[in-house]
Amino acid sequence: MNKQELLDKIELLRQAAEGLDEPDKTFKLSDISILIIKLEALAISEITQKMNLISLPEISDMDAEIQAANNAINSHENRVLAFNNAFNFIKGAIGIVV
Amino acid sequence: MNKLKLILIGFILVLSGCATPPEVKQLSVKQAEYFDIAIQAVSLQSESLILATERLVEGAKGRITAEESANKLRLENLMLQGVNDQATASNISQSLSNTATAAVNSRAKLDQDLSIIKNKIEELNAYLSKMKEVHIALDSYIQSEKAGELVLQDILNQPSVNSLLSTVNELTPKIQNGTTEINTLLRVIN
Repeated sequence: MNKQELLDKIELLRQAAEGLDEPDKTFKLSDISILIIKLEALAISEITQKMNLISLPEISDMDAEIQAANNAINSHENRVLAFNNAFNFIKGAIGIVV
Repeated sequence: MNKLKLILIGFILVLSGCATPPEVKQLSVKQAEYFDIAIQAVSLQSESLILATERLVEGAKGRITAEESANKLRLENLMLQGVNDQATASNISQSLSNTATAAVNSRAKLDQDLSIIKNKIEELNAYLSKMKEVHIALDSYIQSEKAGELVLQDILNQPSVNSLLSTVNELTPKIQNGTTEINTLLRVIN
């Protein structure tokens, strides 16, 4: 049952309550008012429910992955530098001039 | 010695052959722009959703206040009509209290839902920004090919693969056939 269907039912209740004698009439109408007030609380609950369906990874996990990748990249660059140094050494050792 | 030089250059070319193609680097740079556009679009969409939701909350709160006032008035009128028994008086008081409580709870629920939606939107925006950071990390790997180019510069004083290629083209005709230089090379390596 959606909100409009509920409001339609509530309207029927209201019409029925109008036919009652006092003080029952006022008390029934008061109950209906409270029902409407409670129903209004659900005005954006569908949006909230849909938003809650969005499940995202933890930002901290993503940070950890980024850090790990950056470390690997740095270590790769260090390997290249090490390769350069080693090659220079070998170049010097065997006396190649290129 | 020329042959040795050529072989070395060939070796470096094979190494640099593993490097990232320029089109991929270009796409990587473009991808950062695509993220900026996505972040901007989602941010605008989020603002619209918040505005629309706030309007719904405002409307609901208005109807709650109207219903609360109407009910209060209705109950007060009943009181003014003259209440003879204690039970009715007590019921009126209870109904007034229930109405006020329901109104307070409903407003709180609306505020709470709005806050959940806003937080989720913030989370979504943060996620997209983080996705861009993930991309930047990947991009720096692609750009780290420059570190590979250091090898070229350091060993051969060649700034890029292209200049290496032209060096090879210049050298190739100078290479003589025969086994002499290969043997020299083998001796050097051994």
